[in-house]
Amino acid sequence: MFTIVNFMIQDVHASDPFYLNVAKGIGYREQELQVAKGKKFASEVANGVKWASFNGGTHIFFKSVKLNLSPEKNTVWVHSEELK
Amino acid sequence: MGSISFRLPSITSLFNLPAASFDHLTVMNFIVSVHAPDEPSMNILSCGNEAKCKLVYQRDYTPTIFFISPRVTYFESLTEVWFNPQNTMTLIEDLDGDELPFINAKIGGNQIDFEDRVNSETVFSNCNLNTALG
Repeated sequence: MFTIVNFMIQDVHASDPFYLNVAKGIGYREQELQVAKGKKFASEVANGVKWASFNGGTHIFFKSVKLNLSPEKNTVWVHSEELK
Repeated sequence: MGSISFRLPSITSLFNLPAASFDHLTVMNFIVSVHAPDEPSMNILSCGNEAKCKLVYQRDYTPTIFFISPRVTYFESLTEVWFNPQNTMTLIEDLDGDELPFINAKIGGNQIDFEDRVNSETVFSNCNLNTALG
């Protein structure tokens, strides 16, 4: 399962009717392929991702209702706070 | 409630810019949302509590490989890797016996495996040059 990651460059207002504040959040995905986990990553809790490498590679999840049932149709947007 | 999983891209891949473009940034914050088109609606799913959808890239938690020896890798070769784990070792605690502080390193298209020589008790120093044989 993989989705396209886009950088959203246009400014979208929070009041935009398309936005639904229904997502539970993002978190570290317990990784069956990555043995190293330890206490901090022992459970899948959607409390945000505080430590990601600039080099990428971290496996995360996005939890929400109303996701499209076809995984490939869900497009992940990441909205930069520094580069607005 | 469903979920989708994905692997984070590097900052350079995300913006399609060279690494030097981000040298002045030590932290990059993002808010994650998902565009989930579903006829007839075009939902953009976001968090009511923004903190729960916050993604923070941190240079202090970005391990860096400085050099390898020998300078080429090939199938079943032994390679010594000099790397700085930055602060990632502080995130790894209470490992079970079958867990490792890290498993492999990707150099170019090759993957160097450390499973035979690194175990749950192997210690690496934060913010220092360390070596591992893989």
